[in-house]
Amino acid sequence: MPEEVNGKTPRRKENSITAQLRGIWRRISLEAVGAVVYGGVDRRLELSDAIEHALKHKVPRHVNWTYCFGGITFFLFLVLAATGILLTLYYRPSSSDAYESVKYIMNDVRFGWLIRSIHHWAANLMAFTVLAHMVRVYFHGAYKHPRELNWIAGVFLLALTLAFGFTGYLLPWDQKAYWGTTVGTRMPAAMPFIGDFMKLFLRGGDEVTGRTLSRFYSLHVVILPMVTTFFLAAHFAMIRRQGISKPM
Amino acid sequence: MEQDTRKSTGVRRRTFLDTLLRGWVLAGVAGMAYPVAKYLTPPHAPEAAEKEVEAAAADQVKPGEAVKFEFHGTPALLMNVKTGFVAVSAVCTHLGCIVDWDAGKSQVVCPCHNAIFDYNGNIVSGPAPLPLERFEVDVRDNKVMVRRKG
Repeated sequence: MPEEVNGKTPRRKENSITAQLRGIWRRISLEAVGAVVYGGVDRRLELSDAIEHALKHKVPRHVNWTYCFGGITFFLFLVLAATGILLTLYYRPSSSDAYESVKYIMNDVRFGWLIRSIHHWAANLMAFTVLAHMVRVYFHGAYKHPRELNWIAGVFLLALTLAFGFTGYLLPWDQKAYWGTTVGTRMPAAMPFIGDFMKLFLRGGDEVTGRTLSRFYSLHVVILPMVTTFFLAAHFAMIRRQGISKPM
Repeated sequence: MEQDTRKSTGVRRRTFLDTLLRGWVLAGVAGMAYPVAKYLTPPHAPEAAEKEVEAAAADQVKPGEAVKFEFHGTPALLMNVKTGFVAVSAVCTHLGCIVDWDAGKSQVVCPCHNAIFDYNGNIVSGPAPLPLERFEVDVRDNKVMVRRKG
């Protein structure tokens, strides 16, 4: 603590509340986190080597801002998870309630408009950053040997991101959502042999109904997040293992 | 050795920057925590509960008869009795069952434990601890409009 370093300043007498506030103020810092992690926690779990290895990992010199899109995508994923969890507190996934509950979030819940708008815009932005990340990797040839598996994991993550977008689009249950999903689920029907089955399977019936809404809600908040988390973990483990690719 | 950069103000550069950084972090955290805390607290909706509800068309309920309708999410009973239209909550004050209209006796009866109310919602007999909530009724253009007293 800087005040105590040179020892010249004698401790002023303070009343207890001020002293407590100063104590809290002093604890709001990375130093304080470090004191806990390197102190009591490390004495028990011996984590400091691993933490240092992770935090002091050197980024290669050639890395520039175009390498940030993957990280931005992950950040947006976390933002979407946080705001999405908050939205589930008020959203009701049924054909009679969905639209009303979204209107309620936008008009009545305090800062509901903010949470939903952040979710909306982060989702749009994420589709863009995913593509930007992919373009960067493609034109740097970073997908080549030995990083083919990571490219494949990335392609799955792209598909998952788009699936998030497609399922989330239905949830407001307004005209745009309904017709968007009607058209979107009709497209796979053009596939030979399995087309009709795919349409039926996606819609949970012959038409887009409340059953489609339940299905998409389950995909959007349970199934896709689980699968995506798995692929993200694989994606990150591989990049740490193999390192960032050298420029061509 | 650290250089003393206090000069005339008495504040060292490091203390100043430290304070700035901590204040910035704190403001950032507070800026996120405040809307989230507000969001988590559900709003009261007194305006909605005050709104009038159209219970039924006046000629739809014949004298001596009653219909059920929904009043802001809870079931309610509209009766056409000798004093005119009367509307009460249809949720029994005993254990929350939905009460029925007994046209023969002009009484409101709960099917669960036989709590009996008169058509004004007052207790006649049975286990109900409180009378049924009575609403205000207005008939306009053949529409029976119901709102909460207040």
